[in-house]
Amino acid sequence: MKALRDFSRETKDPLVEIKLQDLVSLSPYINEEDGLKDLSNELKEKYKFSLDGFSGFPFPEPSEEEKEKIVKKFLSAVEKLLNPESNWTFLKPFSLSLKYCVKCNTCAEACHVYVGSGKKEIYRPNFRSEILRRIYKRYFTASGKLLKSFVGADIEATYTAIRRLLELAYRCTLCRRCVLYCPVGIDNGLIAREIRKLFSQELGMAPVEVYKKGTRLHLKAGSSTGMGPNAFKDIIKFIEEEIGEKTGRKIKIPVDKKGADILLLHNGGEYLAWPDHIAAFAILFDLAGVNYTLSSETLGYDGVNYGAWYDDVELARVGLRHLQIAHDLGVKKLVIGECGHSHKVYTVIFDRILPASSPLWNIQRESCLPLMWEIVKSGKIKFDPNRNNFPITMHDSCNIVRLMGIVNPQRQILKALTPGTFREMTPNRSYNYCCGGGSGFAIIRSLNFPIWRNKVSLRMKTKQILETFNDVLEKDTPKLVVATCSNCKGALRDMIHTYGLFDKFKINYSGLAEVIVNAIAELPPFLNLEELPE
Amino acid sequence: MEKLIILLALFSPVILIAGVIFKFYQISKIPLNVRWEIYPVPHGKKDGGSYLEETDWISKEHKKNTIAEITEPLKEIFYLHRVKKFNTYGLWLWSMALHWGLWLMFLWIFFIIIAQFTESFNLSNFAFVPYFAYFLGIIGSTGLILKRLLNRELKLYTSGIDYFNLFFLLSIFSTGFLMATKENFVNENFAYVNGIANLNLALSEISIITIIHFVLFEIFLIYIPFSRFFHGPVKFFTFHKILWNDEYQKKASSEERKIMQQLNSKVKWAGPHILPEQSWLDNAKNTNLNEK
Repeated sequence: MKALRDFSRETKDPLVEIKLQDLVSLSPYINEEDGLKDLSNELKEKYKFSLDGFSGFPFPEPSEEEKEKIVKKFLSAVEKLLNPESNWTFLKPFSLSLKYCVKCNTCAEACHVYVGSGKKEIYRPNFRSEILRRIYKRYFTASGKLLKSFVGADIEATYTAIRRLLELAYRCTLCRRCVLYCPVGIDNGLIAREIRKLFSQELGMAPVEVYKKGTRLHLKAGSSTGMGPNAFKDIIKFIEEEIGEKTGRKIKIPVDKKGADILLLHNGGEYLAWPDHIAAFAILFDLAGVNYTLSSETLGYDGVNYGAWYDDVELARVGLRHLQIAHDLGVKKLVIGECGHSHKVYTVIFDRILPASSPLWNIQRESCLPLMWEIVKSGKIKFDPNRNNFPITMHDSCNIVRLMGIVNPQRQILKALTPGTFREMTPNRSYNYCCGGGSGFAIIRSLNFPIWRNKVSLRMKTKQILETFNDVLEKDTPKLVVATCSNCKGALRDMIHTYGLFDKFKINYSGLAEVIVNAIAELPPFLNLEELPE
Repeated sequence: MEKLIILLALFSPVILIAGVIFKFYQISKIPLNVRWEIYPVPHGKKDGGSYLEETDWISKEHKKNTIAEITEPLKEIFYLHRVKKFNTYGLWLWSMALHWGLWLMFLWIFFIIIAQFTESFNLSNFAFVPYFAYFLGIIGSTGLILKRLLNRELKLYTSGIDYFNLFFLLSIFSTGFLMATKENFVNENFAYVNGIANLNLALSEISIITIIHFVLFEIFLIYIPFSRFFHGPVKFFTFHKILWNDEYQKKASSEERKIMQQLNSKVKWAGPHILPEQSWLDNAKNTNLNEK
């Protein structure tokens, strides 16, 4: 790209072409086949792939008249993003980030997508911010109107630019690693989120998986998986039976128990994709004597809140209902299960969504990880760390570690419950790389977006995992990647399938609760690392 | 002409201070955002841990390392440590030179002012300060101009105004450097500030290059709050008030009052799931499942 203003020009080909040879190499671990399939002519004609040859938006092309309307609405949305009433939630960090970036591009090396792609310009954290910044200057500032390109107000809000910007907002996982690199405190991750937000809140444009089959379905059916209260109760029965078969223990999972201390809120996807994870929590809490409950109320059993990724109104709606359910049950605490974005929503974001005097705010909102560490160190349960005698590493969930500062409990657990086989990835803790499936990427399945995600977005984490196990990679022993987040586990699952990590190297994945339960001395081993967990 | 220069010299620091106060006021009037911190926060644990690592954190006391909250920004101001650590375009050296050129130039002005009030303060003893300031400033601004012109990636993001700003700084440092080559520049600098302070500036006794340098410097002071140069002061908000602000809300606090007020703001968005012109609270309470 010669100039940023080219972003708004209609071109025959996408702005960049993703080629395997340009991507960060996974050699010598993986001999990669191309896998970046060409699009069929039918798809090319029907949908827009003008950014990078990929799309997660199966929207038919609008008419010329509709395009004009979209441009007008887009500009109106940019104005609303900068309006104190319309955007009180994020106006301050957003407007400062928009206005005071010095364009030193220090942020670039932080981004796993930019680096993993072989440094394609459009994926630079500052690129999409700069596009929005220049549009904003051109249409909304006196200096931009007067001095035009001299002050960088040179990008025209054409339909082409807007369509590309929509796509580009979903080439960032909102992991905010770039913020840690910025000497001015500019938040390019937030700008990406705000672009997503303006499209959703003004134009009704968002990936089907996060809007229609996401927050809408969550509010309507009770879960973004579509699982209703009855299905939930059936699954609980099934899990209780599974626990009985697996451990020989009869455990009654508490549901709708009024006056329990804790409402435990799992990611709804766990019930269907990884029921063993729910079972592990049930076993652990039962043995530790935790006075908790699950909820069968609509929404009460699915703790996801996709609004965190794209829409403040949907975020508030889902969150408010979760807190109301906790309040109605009379619990003291809402404990968030192993779900990264849900952690951040309830412990951090919701701190200022309601006033502190509100009864809903006064339900304590906590992570499950400190509680799990308390159980492990309490001595109530006898553990045998030798049960976890295999190479084991941990992927830090960005939401839990970088965005909340919960760094240590999960490490203390793994150190305590392994016979010295735990190893850190590099980089780790707050400086970890995103799994590549964050902010909804792990669930977006439309058009050829999954190919882009698997090949580009998951790339740096794949490389990192392979390097972590480098010395034992060829050994015929299972290796485990632990993730304390459902979304991250979804990304690990895609990664393992895409690159054959299980078949080639016996690399498997699980949540943290499963590893804890695997080490409980009085029970049979819980993990089966000879099979993938689905 | 003298009067004009005296007025500019007197008003430029006033406009700078008023401009900074005005900008701070403007930013502080922006509604309280939702919490959006990023770890590690300097007042927290070094490994990036927070009070959220504990059960029942709300009923426990949390230690804060307030010294680190002060020293961390100093690392950025005087060493540009994030640029040093992470920037791969080789900007650190030039940027450091430019920033130190600025700090030393301000220090020299401070010394000249001190000398007006303190007879025992021998300004000549510090004459090395402006040499360093102008030399570093010229090296830094030239280096950054060349970097931005010659590096394809940096050039893509650099607009005319960015070059203008760098050339503006270069002009201040260059005129300062030329001024400093004159044998009696320390006396001239003293006389200039003295003339301003006494409203009696004898322009004929001061070289033209000294006058140009000071006029450019004074214009720079006025320009700071209204330009990208404000990226320095704005860090107070981006870091202390946003990225490092992990304080949870307290009952009957000013934060709570703001949140109550903000929840009554009208939602003006037009998306199909939004209830337009209703408050945020009403929108949150109503799922609006029968959207347009």
